[in-house]
Amino acid sequence: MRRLMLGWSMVVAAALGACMPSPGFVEDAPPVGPSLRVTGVVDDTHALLTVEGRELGRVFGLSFHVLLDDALVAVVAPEQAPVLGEGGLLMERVDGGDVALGGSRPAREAGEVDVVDGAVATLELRARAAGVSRVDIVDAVTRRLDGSFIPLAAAGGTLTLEAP
Amino acid sequence: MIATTPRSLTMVLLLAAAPAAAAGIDVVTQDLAVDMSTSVLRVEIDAVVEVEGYDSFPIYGLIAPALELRVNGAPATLRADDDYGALVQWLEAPDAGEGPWSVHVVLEGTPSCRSQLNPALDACTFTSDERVLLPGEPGAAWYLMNLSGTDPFTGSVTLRTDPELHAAAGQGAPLVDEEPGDGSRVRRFAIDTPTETLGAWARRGTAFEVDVASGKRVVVAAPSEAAAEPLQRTALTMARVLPRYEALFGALPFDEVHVLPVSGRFPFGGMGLLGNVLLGDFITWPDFDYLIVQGAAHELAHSWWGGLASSGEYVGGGFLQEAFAEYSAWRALGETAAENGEDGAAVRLAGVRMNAVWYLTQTDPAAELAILDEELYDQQDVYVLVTYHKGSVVLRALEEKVGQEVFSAALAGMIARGPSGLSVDVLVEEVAAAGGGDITGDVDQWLRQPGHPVLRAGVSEGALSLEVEGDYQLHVPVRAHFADGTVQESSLEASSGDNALALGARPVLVEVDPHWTMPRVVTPTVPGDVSLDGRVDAVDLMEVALRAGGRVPDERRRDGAYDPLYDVTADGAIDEEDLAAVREP
Repeated sequence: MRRLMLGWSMVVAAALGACMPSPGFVEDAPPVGPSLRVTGVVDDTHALLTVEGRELGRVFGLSFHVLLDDALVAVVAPEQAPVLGEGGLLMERVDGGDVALGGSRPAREAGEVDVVDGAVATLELRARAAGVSRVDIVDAVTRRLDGSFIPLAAAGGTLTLEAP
Repeated sequence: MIATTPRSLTMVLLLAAAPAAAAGIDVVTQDLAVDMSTSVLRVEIDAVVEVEGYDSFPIYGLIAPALELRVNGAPATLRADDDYGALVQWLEAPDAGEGPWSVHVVLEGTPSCRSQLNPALDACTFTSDERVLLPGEPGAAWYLMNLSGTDPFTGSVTLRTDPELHAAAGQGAPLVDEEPGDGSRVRRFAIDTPTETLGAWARRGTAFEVDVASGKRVVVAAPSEAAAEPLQRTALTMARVLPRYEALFGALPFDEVHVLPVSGRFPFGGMGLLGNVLLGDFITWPDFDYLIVQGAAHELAHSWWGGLASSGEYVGGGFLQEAFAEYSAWRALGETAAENGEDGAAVRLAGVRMNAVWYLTQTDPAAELAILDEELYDQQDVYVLVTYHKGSVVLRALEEKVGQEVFSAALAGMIARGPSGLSVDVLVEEVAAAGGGDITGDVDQWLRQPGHPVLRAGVSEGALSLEVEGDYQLHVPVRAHFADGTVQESSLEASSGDNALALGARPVLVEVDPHWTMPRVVTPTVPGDVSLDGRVDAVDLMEVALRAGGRVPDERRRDGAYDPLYDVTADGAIDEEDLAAVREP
């Protein structure tokens, strides 16, 4: 009987273990139209997320926020690609789990630039604790030279890291 | 007028100092024959004056000696005032008896034209190419100006000049234009609408006319080839602004308006009389190109504010004419620009912001006075800042508070009050009569206390938090932009202290009072958060970058496209330092 109970416990433990996802990043369904999406490469306790832009077109500036669960992950280094051209000003600001990214042309006189499809930013993350958390992009917009806002669709994903 | 000197204020002070005993004097009519055809000025004044119970009354000192002076056919005298000397003269007629006085005065002499109030300036111009008599000032009056109070009159002005000089005076086109055969030309102009501010102008140059849609004409005389283009451009704008003013305030009772450049040490950039706009020659120079159209629009507005209607009040008199003219100018320039296919809202915004920013950045809070402060005329710099600049923006605030349609009706009602009919109480009455409710509190907060509100703004938990610093009840327009592209226009009735406006969702940008509807400062709760959404991000960077290059202008009436909200470093310029301050706080 004792052996039977031990065996059952092992089966339950194995089943529970099977429910814990492996470290990785599962992308949300890709958005359509002008948009941002997140892709990721995960190595147990670290992740490198990439924010890719699609169909952003001509812009004066770009702004978006990446929201993370800062109880589980920490931002090591956000970086942005020089998508706003020569003289373009970029800014990265980390406030807990809110990473503000984007930038602007320096002045009206500098005009707009075409943003080609591809990476606009990368975020290197490290785990604070093991777990599964959401990565979301919110308030994603571009602006035209006349100040008008162009809303961007956005897709994040689910991040799983192991304990450090 | 575009004030550059304290002369007009001195006139007001003298007016205020006049003895109350002369209050029973009313100059009813004046027919003025002005001979400017030779180097000697000769003016014959035939006036009817109602006099009750007095045998003398004070007038502004006259520009030339009186060769003849009779009242009801009997000799009369002029006596210099004991306190003001030649600046003020007493017309004494002890034998005139009761009833109307028929006054006949002949002035003759070569005017020095140097202002007795400010020797650095001219009270008139008297050269072979140009003969200009400005509205009477103490010591240089060329018609009877009753010193006991505002005293408009009707009558006529007849000018005799060199036949080649263009001429204007009185109101509208000349009733008579003839060359009598003695080498001169005689033109007679009506004064059908009561006024007490007259100019007489004659100058060599090229005249041209611009027809106005309403059937009227704007006539401009350019004294030089260089001045022709800016003056012609100004005339074209005036031809659009004139019918707009008439639609708002009522038609001018004559068919011709003149834009008249004046050389010499003209004491003002511009001066608006009823139907005649005088502009200093320098305004046609390239360096002053920013000023000529807006200045002419302001001066033309004085045909209503100071012309068809005026204030006899000492306190508030400047506000009731200058602030209303300035408000009217930018409103009309914006509306006519829109009719012309331009961005009219931007034109008006630039003008209102220019006025607000000049007031905000040039005023010393420790020295500021309320618009209706009795001591205001003693502080010329403060007077200009709060009367023209703050005052005109205050009128924009009242328009926003009661609605443009109601405010327009109130303004038309004010103009209908006529000469000497304007007062701050009349403003309150006319707004109430137009359905705008009681604006006594608004008048008190904007006109009877110095300063301006400071609005600290930021978003948290889906609501705009607005802290009002100062004792104010404000109607604050708010525009919120959301990431989905929607824009929400709303307003907040805010009072001193903390106020909140629910927005429903977190915006990416909030604009508090985006059209500068009041003299105020907007500042973020979170440093660098110029988008007022409660966080510093790339939208803030874009907001600053879109306004980069704006700076506090170093000249009055020049739009620097400056808004202190975006000058994060508060150094008077929106530049790369502000962008850096947003990026790296």
